[in-house]
Amino acid sequence: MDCRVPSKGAGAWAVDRPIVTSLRFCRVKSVLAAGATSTMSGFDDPGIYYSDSFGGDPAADEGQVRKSQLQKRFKEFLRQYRVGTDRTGFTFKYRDELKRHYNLGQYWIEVEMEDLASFDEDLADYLYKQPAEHLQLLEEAAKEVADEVTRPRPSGEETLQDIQVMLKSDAHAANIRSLKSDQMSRLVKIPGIIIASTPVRAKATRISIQCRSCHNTINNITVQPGLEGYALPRKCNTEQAGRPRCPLDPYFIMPDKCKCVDFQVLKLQESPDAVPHGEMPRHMQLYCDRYLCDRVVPGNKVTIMGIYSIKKSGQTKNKGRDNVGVGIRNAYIRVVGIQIDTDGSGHTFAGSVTPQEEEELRQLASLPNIYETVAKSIAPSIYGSTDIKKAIACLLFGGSRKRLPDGLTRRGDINLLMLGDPGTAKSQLLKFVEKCSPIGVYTSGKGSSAAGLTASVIRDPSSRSFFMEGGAMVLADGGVVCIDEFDKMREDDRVAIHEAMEQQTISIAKAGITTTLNSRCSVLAAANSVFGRWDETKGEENIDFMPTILSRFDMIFIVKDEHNEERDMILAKHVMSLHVSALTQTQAVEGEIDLNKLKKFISYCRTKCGPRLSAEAAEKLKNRYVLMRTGARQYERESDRRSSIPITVRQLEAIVRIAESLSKMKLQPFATEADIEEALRLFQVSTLDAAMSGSLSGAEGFTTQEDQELLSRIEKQLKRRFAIGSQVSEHSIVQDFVKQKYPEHAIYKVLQLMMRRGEIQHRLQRKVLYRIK
Amino acid sequence: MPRVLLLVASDVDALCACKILQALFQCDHVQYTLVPVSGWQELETAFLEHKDQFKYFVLINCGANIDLLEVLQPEEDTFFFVCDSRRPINVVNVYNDMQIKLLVKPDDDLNIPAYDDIFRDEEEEEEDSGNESDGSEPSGKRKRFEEAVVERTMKRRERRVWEARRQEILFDYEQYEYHGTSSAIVMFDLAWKMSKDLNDMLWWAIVGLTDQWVQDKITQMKYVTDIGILQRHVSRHNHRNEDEENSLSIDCMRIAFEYDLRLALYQHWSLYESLCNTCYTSASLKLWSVQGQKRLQEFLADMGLPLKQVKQKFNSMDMSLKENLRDMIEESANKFGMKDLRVQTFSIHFGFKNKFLASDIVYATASLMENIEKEEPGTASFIKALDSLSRSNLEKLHHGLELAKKQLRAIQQTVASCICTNLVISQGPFLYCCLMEGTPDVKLFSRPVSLCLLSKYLLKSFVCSTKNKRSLTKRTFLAERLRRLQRAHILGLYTTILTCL
Repeated sequence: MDCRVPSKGAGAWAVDRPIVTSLRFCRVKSVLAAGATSTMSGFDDPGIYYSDSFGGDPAADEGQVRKSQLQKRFKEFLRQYRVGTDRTGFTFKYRDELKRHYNLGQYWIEVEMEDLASFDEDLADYLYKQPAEHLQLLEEAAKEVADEVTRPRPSGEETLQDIQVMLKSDAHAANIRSLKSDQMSRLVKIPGIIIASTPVRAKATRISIQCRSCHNTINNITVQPGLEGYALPRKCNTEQAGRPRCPLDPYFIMPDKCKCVDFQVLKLQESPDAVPHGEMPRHMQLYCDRYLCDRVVPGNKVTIMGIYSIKKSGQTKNKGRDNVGVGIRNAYIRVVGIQIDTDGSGHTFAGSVTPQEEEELRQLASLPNIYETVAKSIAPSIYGSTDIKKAIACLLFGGSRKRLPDGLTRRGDINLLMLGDPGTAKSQLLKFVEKCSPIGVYTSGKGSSAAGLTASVIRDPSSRSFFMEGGAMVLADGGVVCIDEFDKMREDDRVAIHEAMEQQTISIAKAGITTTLNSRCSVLAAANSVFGRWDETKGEENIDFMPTILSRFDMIFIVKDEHNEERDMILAKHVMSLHVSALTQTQAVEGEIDLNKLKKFISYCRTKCGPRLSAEAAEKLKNRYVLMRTGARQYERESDRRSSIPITVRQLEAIVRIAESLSKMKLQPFATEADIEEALRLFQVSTLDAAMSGSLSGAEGFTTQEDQELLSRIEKQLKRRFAIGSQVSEHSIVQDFVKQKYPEHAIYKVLQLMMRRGEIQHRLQRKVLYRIK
Repeated sequence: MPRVLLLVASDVDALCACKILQALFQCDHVQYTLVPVSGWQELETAFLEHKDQFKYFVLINCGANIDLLEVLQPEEDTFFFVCDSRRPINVVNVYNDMQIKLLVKPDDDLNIPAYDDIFRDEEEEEEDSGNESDGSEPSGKRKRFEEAVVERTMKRRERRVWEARRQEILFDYEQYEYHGTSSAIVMFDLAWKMSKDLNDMLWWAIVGLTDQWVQDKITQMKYVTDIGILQRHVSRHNHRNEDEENSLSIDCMRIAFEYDLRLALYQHWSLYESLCNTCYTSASLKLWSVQGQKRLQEFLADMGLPLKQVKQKFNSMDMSLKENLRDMIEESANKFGMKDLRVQTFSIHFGFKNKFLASDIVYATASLMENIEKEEPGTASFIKALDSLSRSNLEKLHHGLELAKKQLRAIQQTVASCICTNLVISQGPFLYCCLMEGTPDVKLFSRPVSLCLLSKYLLKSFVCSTKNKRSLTKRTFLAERLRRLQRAHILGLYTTILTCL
């Protein structure tokens, strides 16, 4: 095209602006001008065609000029901003980051508002007050800088990609409640919890439309970012002679000529501590696009930076009847930056670990007493229970998951059950584990159903189709599920998690959906005795669990509230000091790791280390296993009865897992003999002691064969003498068997078992037994 | 070249002076050892530990007001260079020209008593006694004896009069403790005279001076005078930035004179927090009462600042509000009786983001020095504070700023609770206040500078709170018992309340 530049005025502009940038904005008017002049003047008009490249119409172009100046300023910022002092050396923060990201194929950059403000306060102010326009300029500027820093690009990648700019600010966050209309289309910063997210969908940024009757296309129509759509023109403007006018609404979008970006809609809920008393939390819709998609999952605590925007409210039913709602709009936030808060419970990934942190964590792991330190840092406000804390430490770190050659897997997660008296801080430990684990889910037994724990199939209200929604154990994949009040759960619900606990999968076949979900999580459960308090005299009756579930726990602790004056004294002192110094003590005590660091350490160890048993340790465990079994046999021979605590293969696996988790704490590749020693000790103090107190003999593997034979003999005799439909006094039955030299506890056990199977029943104030079947 | 031992007291001024001296030593390749001391006891032990290895000792902000020769018992060939802002200087130190060299600015008004008034030559006295012993011998001549007696009694009387006069002079001289020119300025002067002064050194001198002012060690008059002196240096060093052509790069360090608000740390905090936790504003508005809180709201409303913006971090505040914030605040402050909310001070600016007022640095360094978060030996936090003064350790400085905020908040809360619960008790010419052990922040005040700040805040707030103008001439006396150290820090503030009004 022929562009003749008029000399007047051009010189004045060219002085302070580089030609290169201003030429980009030269507006070509020749076509229009030509049309206008040719109709008006005669044939003798020579026709001066020109394009006024330097803004012949100052009023209209002022915005354009200002924009290009601002963009230049943004570009200067990205190129020149540096941190550091003359002593430490400078780093060009954004330039380098842009280059790094670009080379990695990550076309985004995060800009801190404070940096921008310190470079040029006006720029930051513009960005705060009119973010929608200026963010685009910043993105354009970033694209230009990226072009400069990555040139020359390798062949095949010459085309420059668009850069997304995310914003980050250090300001105090506002509240969803405090967002008022005066904040509209400004930059706001809001904290909250993501509670729902849609799948990632595509949104066109530039569309091409075509008229279906005359095939006239209009290209490159920019669509506003955000949830605002684009209204297709109702009429086709091209008029061609000899053709009928195009009908109404002739345009359709040509999908193959559109440029699209990813977008996702999230739902943000106010953080619970910001909700006033007695009110429900409020929600806000968020719109994220490009690299902001899939950054967060429901459950994350986040702080978002975004543009407070409005969209058309949803389709009204009585459409067209009254247009009173024209100005009424729904608010949403166009997200321009997301920060994930790592503290707090729930789905809080510790995030990436910087090299300095890694160094620190490795140093921590190489401490000689790291195991004790970690155990001490578990719920430091709870006094004593050292062994339980150690076991919890093992549970948090977990063993190694193994994939066998035949495709099956052995679980590496350690399951733990705490049984005991009320007021022994079981729930506190659970709450702590929830906070401390990289992924923690806390549920209470009575409040959770089988579907809630595993997975449920629900019907989507909008599409009326069925889809799956994961329950607690699915959500906690890769973490810990804490189940409080385990005994208060219904038996059926408890059965639902059998599969999840041993096979670590959840299989669903409901409503036409057949699938298997992963649930690679540890289970930490707490339960009370059947009688509320542990009844020493009742022994095993305290526990009302099926052997199937008991056998799935690697360690079982019985927590008893013992009366001991000295211990009570210390305990009281500890509790008092906790209440007194609740305000003053904020710092971690010497020798403990603070919560955030511990969390980071756990997630680091879990991801970086998968130890195996060393050869010596395996040998040792093997020997100990054999020794225990032979030792037990010897003991049996001496005492002329079989020990009720055999070590079976299942327990052997538990010990291996514990030993692995111990070496994982130290970031060692192999579990040593010392680890085996400690694992055996932990197993001894937990499950074996629990079994020793006679309370677990109902569980599989804890009843010896002889006991079993004895029981079945009693049962057989009982059934023979006790006809169906008859009733006999319980006392007389017991007396009768005792006379035959049967042990009394065995008789009671048989009665208990039969009662559980529903074969007999108590009648008349538990004095008389009635046989049903 | 012999090595030098630097004994540095634990206050910000001393740190700054030390920093300047270290830079000078570095120029001249002088080897030195740095030992922080806090208190005479530590000074003595540090001296005893090192006296065999060193001949030259530099004492910064310690030692001038004790008789060094008597306390330390040094060898003959040991030399002390004392740079101490504390006054009065012990007269023995002043008149010992062999071993003790004092670094004092010549225009400092020291009021040192004349030599003849307080010292007599020992020899003369010995001669006298020799005469006496001679005179006591029976020599025979009665008249001569009488003469001798008269002479002796005359001498004795003269001596007694002299003694009494000496006592009086010394009492007058040593009656009040006060502070002279900051050591950092003295050191900077030294560097300047050696033509080795740098912009960094100038900044440390400014920080040293500001420390004296923040801690109320010097009067407003003296502060303004010294600021004036420093301003000349500032304009000498930073003139290059004024014209467009040879302007400095943004990364260079620039010091600028500012007529800024005396709100503590406000540029790194929110305006609201700063208003609440600055002694001057909180005392004038009486923020511990409900009325005071209302007054604060009125004050903010008068300035036309929305609460939401005031509570926002200063950095993220709305630009349009920040534009002429200082004038606006000053104007409204005048209405509320805060006449001198703005003071002359300096700011430092380097890089894009780093802008600090001199008082920011003082607060940050002081709280780093007295950090009680971790049980570290005193030297560790001393070194940390020293490091934070140099520009390359921004992280430490920012940490210090956070600690300072915490400290100021704690002071404010303690002051409020003391005044609201009438814990300040008037006892004769003194006011005293006992802090309960076990209250949350009491641990913060276990170090001298924090305790000093607390008591000064308390005093000012008490003066504002009380209606009884008679108490204006009283002094505060603050005691805080430290269980762990098994000793009581007792702090008397020998400034009459009149001075702080």
